Amino acid sequence: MPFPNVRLASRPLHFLYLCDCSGSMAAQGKMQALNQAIRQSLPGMAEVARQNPEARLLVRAVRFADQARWHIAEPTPVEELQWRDLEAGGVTAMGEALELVAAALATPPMEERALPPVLVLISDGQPTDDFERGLRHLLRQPWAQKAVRLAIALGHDADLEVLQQFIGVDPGGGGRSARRPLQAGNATALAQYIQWASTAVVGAASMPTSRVAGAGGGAYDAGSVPLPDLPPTVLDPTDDVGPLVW
Amino acid sequence: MSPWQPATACSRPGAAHQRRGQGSQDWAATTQLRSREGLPLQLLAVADGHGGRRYTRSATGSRLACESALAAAAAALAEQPLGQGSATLEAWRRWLAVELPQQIQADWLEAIERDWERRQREESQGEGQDEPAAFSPLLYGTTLALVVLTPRWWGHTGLGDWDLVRVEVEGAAQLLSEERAAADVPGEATASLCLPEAAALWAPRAALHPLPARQGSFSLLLSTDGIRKSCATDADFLALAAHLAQGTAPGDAELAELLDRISREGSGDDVSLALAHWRGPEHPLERPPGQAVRAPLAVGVVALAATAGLAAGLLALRRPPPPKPAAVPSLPAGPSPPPPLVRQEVQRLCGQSPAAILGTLRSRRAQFEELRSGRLTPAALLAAADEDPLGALIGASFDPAQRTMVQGTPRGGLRLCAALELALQQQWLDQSRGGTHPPPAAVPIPEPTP
Repeated sequence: MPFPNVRLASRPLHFLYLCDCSGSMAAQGKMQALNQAIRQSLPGMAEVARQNPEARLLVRAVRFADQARWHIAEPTPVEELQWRDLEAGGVTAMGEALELVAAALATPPMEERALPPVLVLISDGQPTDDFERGLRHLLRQPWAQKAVRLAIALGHDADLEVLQQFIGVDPGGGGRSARRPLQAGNATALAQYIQWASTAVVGAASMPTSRVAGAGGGAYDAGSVPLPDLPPTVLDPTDDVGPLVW
Repeated sequence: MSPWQPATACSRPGAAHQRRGQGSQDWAATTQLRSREGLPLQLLAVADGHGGRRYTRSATGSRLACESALAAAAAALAEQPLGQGSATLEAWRRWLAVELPQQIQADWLEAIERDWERRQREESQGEGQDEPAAFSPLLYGTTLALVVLTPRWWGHTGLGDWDLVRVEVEGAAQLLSEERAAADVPGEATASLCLPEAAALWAPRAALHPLPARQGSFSLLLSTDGIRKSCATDADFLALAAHLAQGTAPGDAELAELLDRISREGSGDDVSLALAHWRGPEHPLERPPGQAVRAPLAVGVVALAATAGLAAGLLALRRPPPPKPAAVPSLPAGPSPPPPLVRQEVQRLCGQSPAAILGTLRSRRAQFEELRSGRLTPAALLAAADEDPLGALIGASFDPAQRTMVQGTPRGGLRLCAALELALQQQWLDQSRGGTHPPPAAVPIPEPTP
């Protein structure tokens, strides 16, 4: 039986970094550490993409300081991605960043058959614009509601409450969870979280797994993708990951 | 001969599952049976077990879902006559939307509990693998779709993210049914049999489609979501459906290879489908030489036996069917020779022992009742002679005016052997005395208009 003239295609998996580039990120090597962590994670990310050919991993990045701008505007296959360093300076227009991402998650341009996207928000401080408005705009988008939303807090000045709002409902029960802001106190921890988000989470998001939905909407299982366990070395802050610099 | 070509079902594990050494969580199955009036029917079912970590028994859940659906539908179709008329169609539509889902839901819950108990016993004997601590239907969660094919109508019902496409003979394909996901339902979430309110979720996916007497050929493709999600666009999905519907009927291996490629180059998900073709009165399909009814692949196949009193199993097609009449003919005013198929049936029965003849007629007690009560007409049975020659013989032996066996020339024209004549006479006498058959159940059948 000859194969018909139809187009088969893997499903797009959009991975978006939302990176705080405010002036405070210039202090204590945070900006360099973030650039390094993302650059070093790319080979692992590409390997995950190779292992999951049914998912087409496409990376973008937003930088926010005085304003929010696309750092990588076009969805870029991870194997083609070359990371250009972010630079710090300005305030923290996090709300504007969320609105930028909201527009990108509308359909179109999002494809209806896409896999749930992965959003990773990285910040060391507090938003200086209307974060609530930006979050409302973002969560109005169905794809944002379906997305895996992670947040990495750099240092002790990060606004954990804001980051939790971005992630979603606190799972409760205390302890560390991927559904709470991941607190990176130094470059090593940041690199491990970035590695985890860009490989283990991407691997989980690449696998099409159906889940149960309730009759009135919503899901019996919190979150759209079952998140893998966090790297064990960052579960306990007393683990030897180096001094807490930030 | 059925106006529906024997259906095909095929289910393949997804490329992603195969790479991980995991089995499929999909299931697909078809079955053939006869209605209470002896009309040929078919059932198609597909199911997709949920893939998340907590749904550890969803592969079993999808298999049990298909089995429960086919069994429940077969039981009801064998019990209730298909009948005719708008009120009857409405009753069947309600059955697809309400009563059948309730039955399937109940049967499935029983089946998964039995499976759980069996696994617990095996584990206690050291045979089973580690099992979750407590039973929950969630472990077996699955979607389910069912299509019912009769000579007079066809219908569908189910819940979850399956798709149903209709392809016309000229190639136009239309998506007839799909799951409409709520905006706030995250990710790959879908309706499921494991939900307590599952039976109520079927109605939006249920519909009945009457088949006009001169309905032209068309095909139906029922599939789990892995196929549609593997196509770049919905237009590609419909083109694929049209290709499958219109191409030369593929062998099992070819279809499996096609599905494997779809998953490998597409979504990576498990892929399952069931395919049916309505021949239509004007475009009898050419049957490939040696084309027997295909038993679906072992991965996703169930063949069920019909309930008591009706023939079951797979039919082997040997020739194209004769064209169906445009309308049910009325009985001729005067005596007329019985159709050739009825004469052939007489010869066949007369070759049996008297006990066998009696047993054969007793198995059709329902048809005798329906004729005597007026809910079935001899003309309807005679019109379906090519599908049910025995039913046509029974119809030809009945005099509606006297509500008993025909006498005189019509009786003589049947050329019955003594044993067959006696057995028919016995059946009609039993009916006139009220018989011993239980009254018909549930689905309301309209009284014939005077």
